[in-house]
Amino acid sequence: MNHSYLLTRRETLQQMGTGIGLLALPSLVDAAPNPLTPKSPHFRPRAKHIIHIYLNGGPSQVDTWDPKPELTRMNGKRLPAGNLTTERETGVALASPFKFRQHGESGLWCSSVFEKTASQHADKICVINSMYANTPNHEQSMRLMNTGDERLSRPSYGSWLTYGLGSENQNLPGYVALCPGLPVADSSNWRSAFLPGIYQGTYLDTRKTNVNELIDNIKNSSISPADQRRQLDLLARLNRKHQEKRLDDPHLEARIQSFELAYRMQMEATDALDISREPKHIQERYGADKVHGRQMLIARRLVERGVRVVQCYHGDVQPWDSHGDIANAHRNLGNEADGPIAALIQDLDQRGLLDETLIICGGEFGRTPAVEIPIGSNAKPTGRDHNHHGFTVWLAGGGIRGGTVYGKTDEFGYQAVEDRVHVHDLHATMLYLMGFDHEKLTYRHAGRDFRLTDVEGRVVHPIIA
Amino acid sequence: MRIAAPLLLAICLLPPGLLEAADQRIEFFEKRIRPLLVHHCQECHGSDQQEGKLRLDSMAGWKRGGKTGPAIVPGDPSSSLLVKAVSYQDDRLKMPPDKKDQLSRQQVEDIMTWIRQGAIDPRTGTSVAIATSGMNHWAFQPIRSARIKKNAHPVDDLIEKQLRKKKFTPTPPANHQALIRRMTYDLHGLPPTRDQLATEPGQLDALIDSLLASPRYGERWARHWLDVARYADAKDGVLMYGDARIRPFAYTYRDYVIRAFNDDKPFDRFIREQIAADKLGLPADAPEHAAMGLLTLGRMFDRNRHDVIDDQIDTITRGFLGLTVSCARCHDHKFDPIPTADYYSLYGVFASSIEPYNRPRVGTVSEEGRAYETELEAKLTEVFDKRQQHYEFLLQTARDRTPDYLVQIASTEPDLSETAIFFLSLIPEQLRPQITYRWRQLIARRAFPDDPVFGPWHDLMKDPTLQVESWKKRAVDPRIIAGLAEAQPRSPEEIARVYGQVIRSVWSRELEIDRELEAIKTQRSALSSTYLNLADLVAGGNGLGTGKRGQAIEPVNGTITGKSEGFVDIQQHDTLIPVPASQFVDGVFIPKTSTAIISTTGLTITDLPATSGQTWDYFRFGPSGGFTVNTIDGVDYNQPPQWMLALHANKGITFDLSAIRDTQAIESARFKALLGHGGEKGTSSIDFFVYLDGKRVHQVKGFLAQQPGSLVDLPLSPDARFLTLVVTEAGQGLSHDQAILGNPRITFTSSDKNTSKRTFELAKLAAREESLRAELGSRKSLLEDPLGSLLLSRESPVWFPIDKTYNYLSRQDKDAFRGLVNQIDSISVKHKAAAPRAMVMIDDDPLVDPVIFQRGDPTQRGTPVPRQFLQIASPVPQAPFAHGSGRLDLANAIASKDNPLTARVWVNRVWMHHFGEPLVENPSDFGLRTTQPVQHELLDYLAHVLIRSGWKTKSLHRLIMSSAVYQRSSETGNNSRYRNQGVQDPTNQYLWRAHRRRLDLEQMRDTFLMVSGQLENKLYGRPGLITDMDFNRRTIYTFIERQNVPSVVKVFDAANPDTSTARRVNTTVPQQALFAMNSTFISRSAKLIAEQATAEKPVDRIIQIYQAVLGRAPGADEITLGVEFTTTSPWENYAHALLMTNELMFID
Repeated sequence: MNHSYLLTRRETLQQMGTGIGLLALPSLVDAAPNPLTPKSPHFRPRAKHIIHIYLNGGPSQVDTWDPKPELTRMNGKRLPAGNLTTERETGVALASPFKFRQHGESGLWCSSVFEKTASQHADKICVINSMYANTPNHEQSMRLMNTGDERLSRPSYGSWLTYGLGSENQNLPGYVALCPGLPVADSSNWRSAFLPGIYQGTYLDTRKTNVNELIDNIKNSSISPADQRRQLDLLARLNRKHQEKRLDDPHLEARIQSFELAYRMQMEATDALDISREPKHIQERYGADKVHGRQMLIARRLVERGVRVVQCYHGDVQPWDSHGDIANAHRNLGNEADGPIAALIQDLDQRGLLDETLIICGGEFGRTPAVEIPIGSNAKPTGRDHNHHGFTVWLAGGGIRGGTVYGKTDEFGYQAVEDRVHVHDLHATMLYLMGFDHEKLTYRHAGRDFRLTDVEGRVVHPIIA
Repeated sequence: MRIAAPLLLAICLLPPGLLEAADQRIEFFEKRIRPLLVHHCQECHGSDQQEGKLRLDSMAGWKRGGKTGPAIVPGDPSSSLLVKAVSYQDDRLKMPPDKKDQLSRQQVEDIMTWIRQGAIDPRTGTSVAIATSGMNHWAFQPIRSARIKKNAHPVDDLIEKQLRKKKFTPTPPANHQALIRRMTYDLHGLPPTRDQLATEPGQLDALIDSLLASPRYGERWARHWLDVARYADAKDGVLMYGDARIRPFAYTYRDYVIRAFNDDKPFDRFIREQIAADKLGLPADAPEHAAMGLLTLGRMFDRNRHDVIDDQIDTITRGFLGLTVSCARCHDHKFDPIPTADYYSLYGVFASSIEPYNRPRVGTVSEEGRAYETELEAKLTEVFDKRQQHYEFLLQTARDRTPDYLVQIASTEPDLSETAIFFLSLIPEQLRPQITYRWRQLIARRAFPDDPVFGPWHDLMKDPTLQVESWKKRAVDPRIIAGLAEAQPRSPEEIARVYGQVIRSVWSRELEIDRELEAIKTQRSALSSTYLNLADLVAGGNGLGTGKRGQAIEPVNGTITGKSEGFVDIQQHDTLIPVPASQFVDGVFIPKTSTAIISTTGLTITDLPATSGQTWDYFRFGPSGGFTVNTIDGVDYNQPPQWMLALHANKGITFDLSAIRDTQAIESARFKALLGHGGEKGTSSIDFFVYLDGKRVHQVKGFLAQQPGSLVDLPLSPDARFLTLVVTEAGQGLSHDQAILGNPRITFTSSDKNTSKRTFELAKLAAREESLRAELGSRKSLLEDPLGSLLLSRESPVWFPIDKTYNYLSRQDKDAFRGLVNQIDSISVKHKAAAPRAMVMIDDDPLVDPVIFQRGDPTQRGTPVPRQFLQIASPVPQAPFAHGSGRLDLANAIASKDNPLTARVWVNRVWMHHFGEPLVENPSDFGLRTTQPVQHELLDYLAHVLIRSGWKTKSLHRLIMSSAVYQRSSETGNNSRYRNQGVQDPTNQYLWRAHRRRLDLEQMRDTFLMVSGQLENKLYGRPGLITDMDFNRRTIYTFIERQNVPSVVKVFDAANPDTSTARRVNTTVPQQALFAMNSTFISRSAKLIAEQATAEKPVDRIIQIYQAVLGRAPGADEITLGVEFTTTSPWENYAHALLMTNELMFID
C-alpha cells in the first residue's frame, strides 16, 4: 500500500470511466489510488517531458524566425493590403533592424536575435511560422496558450498532462513553472481549475537564489535534521498505534506515508533546484550566473528527475512586449535568452534527453510588421503592436522533425496564410506527442466532459518525425 | 458549453459576404417569415393543435413534417409542400384553408425566398424535447413524503428498510467521546472543549442544542455555503495586486451568510435575499442587502459581461437547483431538458441587472468612519460627473459623425472588431466599432424596397443611378430624394455620405436651434447681470458661469482644454497667441524680453521686466497643477461660490473689453480682484501688472507667498478696449511663482449701462427667439421624424445607455475612467473603519430583452426569448417574468415549495457535511445523468421535513444527528462481515457505518489555534491574511485570494473560488506533510503548548499535553514513548509530533 495521493473513491471510479485508464487498478477494498502514480497514455508517446521556453510579451516573428524581404522593401510605406486590426493603431511598414542568415544543413533562416541557438541547433528545430490566436491582448492570449481558453477557468495543459500521466518522481511536483517574477495573468497560466489542485503547476520565483526559499516549508529552521528524524519516528509509532483498530482505512496509511515522502522531498527538491552541484563548465555554458541561464539549468535538472512539464517564463509581466524601440529591446532580450537556450538543447542532446523532451519556444502571439503609432506622447514610432493574426513558435526534441519550416505568413509577415496552426492545434499536437488523443483526454465537471482543446484542435502531423 | 472564441475564428475564415448573408437571412426570417407563420399557420400547426401531424412552430417540426412528409426542402421552393399549399397550386392542398385568409403574393414570395436561401430557421430548442426526455427523471418528480413506522426515528426507519433488503449489518454505536468529537467538528468545525467532553451519555440532544445555539455554528456552516457561492475577497485579472486586488466589502456577504445560519434563516428566504434583496421591501440600510454578494462576488473575466453572466447563471442553477444550465450556453443541453432558449431567458434576467457604483450602506457610521463617507461621496460625484460628461460627448460625436459611419459601412466589409471590442484600444478619432455594427444591422434590416429611408440603398450600392420618380412613387422621404438629387453621388461612398448628411442635418438643425435658444437665455441674463467672472471667460464661458471649473487656455495654441501640464514647451515668446474659442479673451502671451505684442490689433508694450521665458501650466479657472494653495486671507477661492484665476509666472492675458461691452450693453465698468500668492514656499515672489490699452495702470512688485491679499480695483473708461494682466517671476527663479486672483471680475452698476442699447438688444433677442420657436413649432418632433429618430430614439444605432459609457471610451479615457472608478474601492480599502456596504445588484434601465446567441456567440443574434424560468421546473404554461429584471420572480420560482429540486438539493448538501458523503452523488448536478440515489426515499423525506418546518436548517441538523445512523461507529475492525459489505458496497451507500473524515483546511487551522490557546473568537468584519502570524481569528475570516493563492490553502484542498464548488477534493500529498513538519505556524503552536504544560514531572507534563492536543489522557505505552522522547528532545518537538498525528487530523 504505497498510495500517497488520494481522490475520493467515487471520483476515482468516475474518472476511470470517462477519462484515462489507470495503470494499476487497485483492489476495491484498500483502494487509495495515487493521483500522481505514473500512468500510461493512450498510445506510444514520442516525448515524456516538455520544456516550454515562454518568451512572454510576444516576440516579433519578422525580427526572429520569419524573414520578410518585402517588408524591408516597403519600409516606411503603407502596406498595400492595409493593416489588420490589433490592439492599437499601426502605421507604415517597419523593416526589421536585424540581419537574417541561413543556418545548418537545412538552411533555416534566423535573425541575429537567436544567432547562437540557430547556428548550433538549426537542424533540430522545426519552426512553425503560421501560428495564430484569437485576440491581441496579453492576458487573454497567455491563458489561451496555456489553458486553451482566454477567460474562463480552464486547466492548463501542464495540469492536463500531469492528470493524464501522473509523475515519474513522487518526490517532486509533476509540473513546475519557473519565472523571475510573475507573467501577466499570473497563476491563471498554470492553474488546475476544476482538476484537483495537485495537478496545478508549482510556481517557483527564480529571482530567489536561496534554494530553501523556493519551495514553501521545504525546511524547518528550528529543528535539526536528526531531531526531525527522531520526531518523525515518534510520529510513526503514534500513528501505527492509532491505526491498529482502523486497519481498513487507506487514508490513514496514505497520510503516514506522506510524511516519509515529505522527508525525502526535502532532500530531493532542494537537490534538484541547487545548480551549484553542477560542474563549473556546465554552469558557465548556461550562463547560470544570470537568471535565464539559471532557470534553464534548473529546467534540465527537473526533467532529468522525471518532472513532466517545466515552463520557463522569460520574466516579470511581459518583457518581450516591444511597443517601442524594438531594435534595442529585442536585441537585449535575445542576448538574455539565446545563450541559455542553445546551452539547454546541447546539454539535453548530450545526455540523451532531447529525444524524449519536447522543447517549445515562443510567446503568446507575435508583433505587427507595421509600426505602432504611440498614443498621446511625443515618442517616435519605433516599435510594433501585438499581433495574433500570425506568429512563430518553434519546437525541437521529442518527436519533432528538425530543420523544417511549417506554414507561412503573407509576404509582410502579418497574417498566417498557409498551413495555419491555431493554438488549439498546437495543443492537440503537444498532447499527441505526449501520447494522448486530445479528444479523449477528458474530465467531467459541472455536468459535462471537458478537454484541453474544447471542440477544436487538430494534430499537425507534418511536423512530427 | 462556451465556444465563442473559436467560433469567432471560424467565422473569421468565412468570406465576409457569407457572414453578412447569414446575418441577413436570420433578419429576414425574423422580419418576414416568423410573423407570417405565427399569424397564418401556427393556430393549427403549433403547440395546441397539430393538423395533419404537422408543426410549423419549430425547425424540427417542419423538418419532420406531417402525414404527407417534410413541409420544406431547404433551397428548393418548388419541391416544398409548404409553397404548394400556400400558393394554392393544388386543389387538394390549400393553406390556409379559408380563401379569405389566403396569403398575399408578397408573402408567398417571401416564403419562397426564404426557402431558396436555405430556410434558415433559428427556432431550435423546442418544448418537444423537454416533454419526452426529462419528465420521468426522478429529480423532477414532486417530493413525496414516506410513511414512517410508528415510534421509529424516521431516518433510521428509512435506512433500515434498505439495509434489510441487502441483509447488511450496521456497525455498533460510536464510542461516546468519539461521538462528542464528531458533533463539535460537524457543527462548529472545532475540537470539543473540556466541558463538552464531559457531556453525560444521555445528554447528547442537549449538546446538539447548545452547539446549534453558539455563534461558532454559523462560522462553520457558512463556510460550506461559501464554497457553493464561490466566495472570495479578491478580484481577478491584470494588475490586481496589493490593495488593488481587494474587494473591500466582500466580507459583508460572508458575514451575512454567517448570520443567516446562526439565525436559522429559513432557506427559502435565504434564496430570495441572495438573488433579489433589493426587491423585498427591506429598509435601505438593512444588512440583508449584502446577500446579493452571491451575484457580485464572482470572477471578472477581463470584463467580458457574457462570461460574468454565465458565471451568475452557473452559480445559481448549480447551487440552488442542482442543474447545469450553463451547458446550454451554446446548444441545447446534451443530457438535460434545458434548451438554449432557457439559458438566454435567465441571461436576460442578469443582463437586466447591474452593480451600481454607489453601494448602499448597511451599518452605522462610527466616529472614525466619518471621513470615509465624505471622501466617498466626493469621489462618487466625480465619477458620475465624469461619466455624464463622456456620455454626452460620445453621443453628440456619434450623431455628428453619421456621414462617416455610413461611408464606413458602404466601403468596408464587417470587421470582427465590431462585435468583439473588449480588447481594442481606440483612439479618440476612431469610429466606434459597436456603433458601426449597429448601423450595419439597421441597414440590413431596413434596406428593403418599401422602406421610406433606406428603400433605395441596396440598388444604389450596386448602381448609383438615381431613380427619383420611382422613389417618389414608393414614398421615399423627400429630403433623401432632394439630398441625393442635389449631390448627384457617383460611388457607394458618396451615396452613403449624402445619406449621412441628410440624416444628420435634421438632427443638427434642431440642435442649433436649441443651442441658440440657450444662448439667447444667457444673453438675456447677461444684460441684467452686474458683474462678469473673468475666470469663467478663461474656461470658455460667457462670464456668467457657462465655463467649467478646471478648464484652461493652453499658451502654445490658444485652445481651451481640461488638460494640464508641467513646464510648457514655449515656441514663441512675447507675442500674442489668439484664443478663438472665446470672444472675450483676445489672446495670451509668455513674456521674456521687455517688449511684447499684447493684442490682436498689434498693441505693444515695452516696459516689462525680463524673464526666463519659462512657464508652468496654463491660464486656469482654478489652481494650476503642482503644489499650490488656494486660500487668500483664509478664504478658499477654489470653492464655490468663490472663483479664482491661476496664473503661474510668466504669463500675460488680454481681455477684449469692447466685446464685453457689446454683450453687456455697458459703457463704463471697474476691474476688481484680490491678488494672492498660490505657491507653497515662502521664499517665492512675483510681480503683477495691469495694463489698459498698453498703459500700465497698476502694479504689485515682489509679492510673496503667504502674504496677505492685495485688492485691485481699477476704473475701466468707456473707450478702453484691452485689459491686460501680466505675472512675472520677479527675478529669483520660477519655483512656486503662482499668482492667484480671487474673484477676478468686471463690475458695473445700472448707471454704467446704456439703457437704450440694452432695450434694443433685448428686443432683438426677443424677435430672434420668436422666429426660432416658430421654426421649432413647425418641425415634427425629432422622435416622430423618420430621419430624426434615426439618431435620437433609443433604437438608434448611436444610442446606448449611460452605464455602458465605458465601452465606448478611447484607450486613454478608458484607463483614466477606470482609474477613477477604482478609487472608489481604494478609498474603501484605505479607510479601515468605513461602515459596511453591500455589494448589491439593481435593475438596469433599459431592461435587456434577450435573444439566443447562436452557438454562444454574442455576434450571432438569434430568436428573442422572454425572461422566464426554466421550462423543466415551471408550471405549465410557462409565463414570462413580470417584475423588472425578473430577479425576484426567479428567486420565487427557485424558493417555491413546489419546485422539486431546491429542497432536495439543500438537504443533500446538509447530509453530505454530516456524513462526508452525500445521498446524491453529484450535489450540484441532479440532471439526467445522475441516477436515482439508493436513499431516494430518505432524501425526499428530509426535503419534505425541511419545507414543512418552514425551511429551517437547524431542525434538519437535529433530525439527522439524533439518528442511530449518524451515531454509528466508523470502525469496522477485522470483521469479515463488514469486509464483505465493503466489497458489495464500497462507497457505503447503504449507510451501514460512519465515514472517517480528515480535517479540512479550516478545521485544521482552527484546531491548532484552539489547542494552543491562541484562537480569538471575534465575529464578523474585515478579513486578515492567513499568512499573517498575528491573525488568530477563525479561518473563515481569512482573506480568500483568487490569484496567487497561499500554498497552505492550495495544498489542503480548499475550494477554488473561480467557480461554484459542490464538493472539495480530498488529496493526501507530501506538501501537506511539509506544512505540518516545517511551517512556523505549527512550530509556534507546538511551542505554546509546550510552554503551557508546566507540570514538574515529565509524566504529568505528558498528560497535560495529551489533554490539550487530543483531549484525552495518554495510555501507559504512550507515556513511556513520551518520556523516552523527551529525555533527549525538546518538549516543543514532542508537542509538535502530537499535532501531526492522524488521531488529531481525522474524525472517527
